[in-house]
Parts: sequence; C-alpha cells; structure tokens
Amino acid sequence: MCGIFGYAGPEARPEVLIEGIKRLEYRGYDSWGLCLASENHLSLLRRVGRIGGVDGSALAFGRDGSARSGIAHTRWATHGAPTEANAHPHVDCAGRIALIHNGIIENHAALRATLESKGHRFTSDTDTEVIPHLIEEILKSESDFPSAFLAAVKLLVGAYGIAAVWAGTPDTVYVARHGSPIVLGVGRTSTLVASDPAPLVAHTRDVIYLDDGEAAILRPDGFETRTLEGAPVSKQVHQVAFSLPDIERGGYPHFMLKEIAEQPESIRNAMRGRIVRSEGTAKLGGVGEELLRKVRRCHIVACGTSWNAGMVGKYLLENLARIPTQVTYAAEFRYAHPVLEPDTLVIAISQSGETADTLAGVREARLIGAETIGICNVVGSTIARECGKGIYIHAGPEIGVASTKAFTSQLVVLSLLAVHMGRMRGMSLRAGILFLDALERLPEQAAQILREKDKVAAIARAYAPCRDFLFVGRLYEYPTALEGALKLKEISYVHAEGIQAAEMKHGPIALIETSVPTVVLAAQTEIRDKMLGNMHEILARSGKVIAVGQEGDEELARLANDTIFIPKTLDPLIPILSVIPLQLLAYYVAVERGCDVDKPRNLAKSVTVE
Amino acid sequence: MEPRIVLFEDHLLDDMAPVTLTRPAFVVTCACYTLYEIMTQSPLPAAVHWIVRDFLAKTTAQRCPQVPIEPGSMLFFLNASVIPDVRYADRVRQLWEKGAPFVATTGRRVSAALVPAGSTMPERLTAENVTPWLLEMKLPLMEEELFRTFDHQYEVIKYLEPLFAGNMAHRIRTGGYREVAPGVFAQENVTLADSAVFRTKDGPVILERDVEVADFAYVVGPVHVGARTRIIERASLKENVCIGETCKIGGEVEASIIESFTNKQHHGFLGHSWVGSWVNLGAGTSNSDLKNTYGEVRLEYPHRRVETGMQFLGCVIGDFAKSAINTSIFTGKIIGVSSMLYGFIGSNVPSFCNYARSFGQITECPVDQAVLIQKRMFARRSILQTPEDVLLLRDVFELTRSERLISDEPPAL
Repeated sequence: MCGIFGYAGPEARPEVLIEGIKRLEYRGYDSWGLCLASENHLSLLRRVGRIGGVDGSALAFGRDGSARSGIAHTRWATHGAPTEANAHPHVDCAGRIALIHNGIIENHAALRATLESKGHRFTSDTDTEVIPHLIEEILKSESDFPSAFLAAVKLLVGAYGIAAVWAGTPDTVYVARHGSPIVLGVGRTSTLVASDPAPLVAHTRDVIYLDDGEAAILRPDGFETRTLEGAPVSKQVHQVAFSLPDIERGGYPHFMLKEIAEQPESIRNAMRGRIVRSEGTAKLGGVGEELLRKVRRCHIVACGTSWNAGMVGKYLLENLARIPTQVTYAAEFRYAHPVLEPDTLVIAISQSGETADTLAGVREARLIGAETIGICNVVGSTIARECGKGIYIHAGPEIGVASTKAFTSQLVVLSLLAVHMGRMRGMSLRAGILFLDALERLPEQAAQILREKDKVAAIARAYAPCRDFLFVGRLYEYPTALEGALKLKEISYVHAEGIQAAEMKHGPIALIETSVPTVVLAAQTEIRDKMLGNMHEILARSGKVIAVGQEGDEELARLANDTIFIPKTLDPLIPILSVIPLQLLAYYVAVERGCDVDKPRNLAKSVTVE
Repeated sequence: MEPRIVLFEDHLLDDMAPVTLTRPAFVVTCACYTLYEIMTQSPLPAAVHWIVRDFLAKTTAQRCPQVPIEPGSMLFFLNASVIPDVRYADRVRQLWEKGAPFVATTGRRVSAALVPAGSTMPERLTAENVTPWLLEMKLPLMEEELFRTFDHQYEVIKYLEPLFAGNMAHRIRTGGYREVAPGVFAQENVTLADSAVFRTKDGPVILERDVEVADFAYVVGPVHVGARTRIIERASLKENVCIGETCKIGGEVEASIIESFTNKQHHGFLGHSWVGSWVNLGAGTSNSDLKNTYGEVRLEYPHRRVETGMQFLGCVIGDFAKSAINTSIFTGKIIGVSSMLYGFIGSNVPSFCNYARSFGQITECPVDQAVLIQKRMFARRSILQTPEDVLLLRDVFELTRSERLISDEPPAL
C-alpha cells in the first residue's frame, strides 16, 4: 500500500511533489522518493523514513527550473524491506524511465527472470522494478513510448496504480490502473495524478476517477484517457467537495484526536438529508427501494473496524428489520466459497472503498449473482463504483490510521438502513419516529461526551502502564468492546482483547489480576444487570474495572474503579456514543506511552493489498 | 365548546381496496356504525370537517355534511381509518377537553393528533400531506396506541364481533327504539311476520324504520338491519350480521356486513364477508369462509400474502359487483368494484372485470357499461344518477387499470 503523486506542468519542483505525497503519507510512510523529468534527463531522489524529515538538500534537488513534470511516491513495503534501493521511483537500465506503483505485481518473479535473461540489471527487491525494465524491453521493438507503456502494463498480473515519466517526453506523465485507485486532477496549467483527491485539492477541484483497465497520458495542457488496449475513453469530471483545511490537523496535535472531535459533525453529516420523520423512515437514494424490499437475508463483508461496525449492523438489521444477517471477514468470505441464498444482499463496508479483501469479496459476491451495496466514505472509490449501489457515510477525509469518525458514521448509516428496511417490514411508525428522534440527538450527545475528554485522559494516564486490557460487552456493546480493544492495540501497542461478557467465565476470566484492567460496557438498559454481574466477578478477583454506563447510574459508579458516563439513548444506538470514550482512552494511552498516534508502526490507512 | 374534529384520510389505503375505492374510510360500516356517525352523533356530537382523496371529494360532500376549518384554531385530527368503536367518542372528548397537544400512531399510520391553536397549516390539507404535516410539527408522541385502525380490508370483518356488543348497546341506549319482542328493538313502521323467529339470547336485534321481516325468517342476534330493508321469506341471519339501508336479504347470512342498496335476495350462503353497496348476488351465490384444512386464511395482495390470523374469513366484494347464478367464491377472495362474476371464483378479481375464469373468459368491463348499469339500478330505487356518481366510476376505473393486467393470465381452476 502506497501513495502516488504525479505532476505535469510549469511548477515541477521538489516541494510541489513532496507536498503532494505528504498528503498521502497515511497510505504508507516507510520510505519515499521522487523524480523530476527534464529534456532527456531524469533526476531521482529516494529516502528512507518519513517525508516529514525532508532535508534542505532534498529541497535544493532539481531546482534548476528545467523540469517539466515529476512523480513522487510514499511507500508501505510489501516486497522488500524499507530501504533506499527499494524506495520508488524505480528506473530502467538506461535511467530514462522512472516509475512509481501502488499495488502488487503477482507475476513479477517470472517477468524478472525473463528480463534478467535478456540482460536487464535489477537493483531492488521490489516487484515494481520489473515494470520500467519491461517497458524498456518493449521499447526496443515499439516506436513510441505510449504504445510500449500500454503493452508492458497489459503483461502485468496483479493490482496496480502506476505513474511513469520518460526522458524522451519530459512534459508527460503516463498513468495506468488496475485494482488500485487512481485519480486525475485537471488544473489550468497543470495536470496531476494521485492515489486519492487529497493532494490534488491544492491545485484543482476538478478530478477524474480512472477505472480499472484504463490509462491516461497527462500533459500540462491536457490529458488523454484510454483503455489498456489504446481505445479512447471519455471520462466525467467530478468536483471534489472537501477543501484543503479539511485535511489539515486544524490545531489538534494528531489527526486522530481531530477526527474524534469531529464526530458530532460527521455523525450529523451521515444522517443529513436522510431522515424522513414524516414517514418515520430514512431516505437512502443510492439504494433501490425495490432491492431493499425483496431482500430476505443480509451478508456483511468487511475488515477491521468496518467489520466491527458490521457486527453492530447485524444486530440492527435483525432487531429492527428482522432480517437474518451474517457478518464475515472479507478475506474469509472471498475464499470460503460462501453460500448465498436467493435475495441475499451483500453489504460491503470500507472507509476507503479500496480495501483489497473487501473489494475481492464484492467481486466474489457479484460473481455468485448476489446484489451488492457499498458503505464507503470515499466518493467514487472502487468498492462504491463496483457495487453500483450504496450509501456514502460522508465522514470527510480520515487521515489518522486508526479509524474513528468513519466507524461512528458507518453505524449511523447502518442504523438508517435498518430503520428503513424495518419500516418496510412492519416496524411501526412510532418506533421509527422514536428511533429517528434518538438518532438526531446523537451529535449533541457526542459533543457532551467530548466535553468530558479530560476525565478520560486522566483515566488513561492512570492505566497507561498496564500491558494488557480486556474490553467486555454484550449485544450492541460486544462489537463496541472489540472496537475499543482494536483501537488500543492499533495505536498504543498494548495487548487488548474484546470479549463477549458472558464468555468471560469460559476462559478469559483467568486473565483477571490487578494489573489487567477491564473496560466494562454497561450502558444498555436491556442487559445492564447482567453486566453488573460481570463486574462483580471481575472485582471479586481483584481486577480493576473502568465502566462505561448511562448517566445517572450511581450503582455502576459505586462499583467500578473508574466510570465514564454517556448520555441516555436507545440501546441500538449506544455503540455510536460508547465507542467515543474508548477512542479517547486509546488515544490518551498512546500519547502517554509516547506512541506516534497517527502513524502506528506496521500499519497503514488503506489496506489495498490482501 | 364542542370538539372540532378533522377526519382525514392518509396515503396508506391501498390495502383497503376495494372497500375504500368508492367511499372514504370514515363511512365504512362495521358493527352497525361508521366512524362518521359516531363522531357526529351523541355523546359527542362534534363539528366535523373531513379530508379525503381528491376523487372522492364530490360524492362525499353529497352524503357527509361538514363544517369548514377555522385556520389557527385548536383541532382534533382523527384518521378516517380508525375503527368505528363507540368508546372512541368519549376518548376524543376527554382528549379534547384536556387540550394537551399530542400525536398518536397506530402501526404504520398517524391515528390522531390534537393540534394546538395558532399552528401554521398548509394552504391546502390533502390526504397526501396531512400526515407529514402532523409529524413534522413534532407534537409530543403518545406512548400508547390510542385508536385502532383498519389497515386491511379484511379487518372490517375481523372487528365485527369484538365491536358489535358495545356498539349495539350504545345504539339501543341512544336510538329511541321500542322493544317489540324480547331483545328485538325497532324503530317506527317495522313489519314483522308472525312466523318470523328471533333468537336474542346472545345479542339483540335492531330493526330500523320501515324494515320488513317476512315469513319464516330466522334471526339470531346480534343483528342490525338498516332502514327500508326487506328480510325475505325463509332468510336466515345468524349472529353479528350488519345490514345497511334499502337492501333485500334472503338465503343464509352469517357474521357479515352488507352495505346499503345491495340485494342478496335468493338462497345461498354469505359468511364472514363484507359486501359493498349496489351489489347484486344472483341465486345460489355462495362463499366459503373456512378452508378445508381448517387453517388460517391468507389473503393475496400484489407481490405478497398476508396472514389474517382468522380461521373464518369469507370474501370482500366491492360496490356495484354482480354475481351470476350459482357463483361460488372461494375462501378469502377480494372482488373489485363493478365486476361481474360467473362460475368458480378461485382468485382475487380486479375491478371492472367480466370474470368467468372457469369458462376461460376474463375481459374488461367497459366503464360506459358500468355507468349504464349504475343508472338502471339507481332508477329502480328512484335515485338520480349525478355527474359526480359517473365521474367517480370513471376515476375508479382509471385507478384500477393496472389490476386488470392479470387478465392476461391463462384461465385456470
């Protein structure tokens, strides 16, 4: 998983390219590099480490003003360690072709062997390096570079978003896509390419989403889009909705904290314009009414935090709409030969809309003949487009690797979907109205929780030295427990487990000791007494309890070592509120432990590889 | 101050067809009352305004007087689909006198709301916009379901028995009847044959003015017979039967509602059914109200089936429908407006159909023919066919055009 950025225009300078990949750093950040193309000359710079550490020599690089285009890359290693040699761009033997790549070339070993047998010399361990050498080889028999570029790309098996420059046409960037996202930016005097729109908005708001099997040739004064076979393709220009300040940190020390704090707004945005109180239902324009009416089963496919959201979705769909719902890890779904009954709706959840396993799950489901809808944040993302139908969560750019606002927005959208399908299936008008009214109160309730963040920070500081945490919950709070544990693991490198509370006695309770705190989620009214029983069991074994309960639950506060209150809401909506203190807890524990919150080790934002 | 009630239809009446295709929901008879009667009579009586679907406005105006709405005044909105339960008169009065604004729902619909004085109202309230307007005011939502509603046409039959005793008792109490025989309550000019038999152990019999009960009729209460109706020789009316005005009733009738101006003159069984106005059932017409399996009756709707929860359920026959001799209607069938029935009726029948499926013939009944038949029937009862009556038939013909697509199905028995 990597970020790519390319620029063709009068300001082909290192700082422009570096600024571009900085906005993609959340996609990977173990090494980076750039290449400037001048007349018959390529200037290459590669570094190990974060882009934030750009030194003066790098900025001085290529400042003679002769460059007409450039490409830059921020890397998350898949093949080969994060070294300077493995950093992109990669070049051919003659050093006239430089290329950056996001994805995995599955047949790279065979191609490499063939190319080596023809005398090509490789200098890296990457799969990517085969591509410039392949183009170089084909150029021996092809008269023009675009044809050689397309011919080479067609030989690749796997996933790729590619941008290349050639010393022979220094004002041109060559782009191709299959399986990895590519967005083009159309400026007045420049044309750009990136893995997503974030680095483009500093230059233009007019973007074009390239589809799989498509290529583009970018010049300062325009662009051409083609199929990989070379046939011209007409593409629609979209307007990017968010502005540059949206993707800045906005005064917060970390993107994660900023995004946690944005949740009152992102929750509101997820439901904006979708609540039809006069009918006690939701309006979801991206999903066909007839499709939802005929659905008899749902199958949610997702990974990571989105999977946890899917678990909440299962309870929502089953309780509100009485639709049997199954949740499967996308990677399992893909290879498990899933059995999908007729009228099963596959719901793919992915913040980025590019998650490789989830995308593969969508393709598998469509192959079987199931209807699919996507729940994504990134408009025009691959999953959103391949599903054809879906609901955007409108959370805005999420830069922090640990997903926060996307999770709560996914839950809002799943709630709207559940109430809509419920109203189609006999849910009463009154129940629908009560649910929607409670949903509309969530933004203010989330803000109320955030006003108490200092209290959570104090709790986090007290427990930060602990090496192990347990999170326990039932029903809607069970996926919340999973999500709370995942957040803590992701950013603070503390071992944490999310456990269905009743399962404690079947094993995990053996872990309880003074140094292993348990976060007990006890805000649901339906099973609150059961959770109190769990608390007693933990306390009786000298375990420490951090309880999350509904405001006013004094008995809970008396029992627990520490208590975080959330405002009262309906049980199905509790995860949207109760996860917020867990996000804050994870954040403050990570800060206390000196972890890099926004760029946790070994992780990257958008997992576009299997 | 007398309550000011707005009886409003909403947008959820599809499952009430054909009962409400030709009448507003508030004049559907069940257990000897309509909702309109309850709201306009003692003990309320209220000043009633109504909101109906546009195509029903003119014919409704002919039979249901109303008062204009005073914009900005306190108003009690009551859904036209609320079941005609006389106890609701007291409930409405109490809520009105309490004066606390609220909105109440029942199942999928708004059943009632008390709109406070000074509320801003849309320029024109319609069946389409009244419910959204009531909900968007965000009045306090009542926790309990205050009023039950008819959501499907079969529920008119379902509520017949539970409502009958209370409604009949209220009618006897307030209607000024004479008890002409034990448990038999009559208005003026009622004629009873000496050989007619009344069994009133399980409920009374009410006969409105000018009713005639002919020789050897057998009547088991509770039964309500509307004004000017004739119960002909050897007729058998058994429990929970509710007959409208100016009908002719013979044969065997059990637990059924027959609206005004309908003839079921000859032998044949009608059970657990609702029959609209201006229907003529030919000699020997019978319906089944019990499956051979003794199981629950399910109704067919477009694209779905509905479990009724009823073991006994006959048929629902729309206004102006006619049956030929010896027509047999299977359990739980819905017959549309102005349709003609022949032979075995094993499936639902769309409106304006000549339905002889068992003979391989299903054709559309031209609306001009329906208009002509209406004129002839009205003339027999000295009623003048008005342009509004004709327009209503033509509107309903258009509204039900899509139903008749099933005529393309191959005939089957």
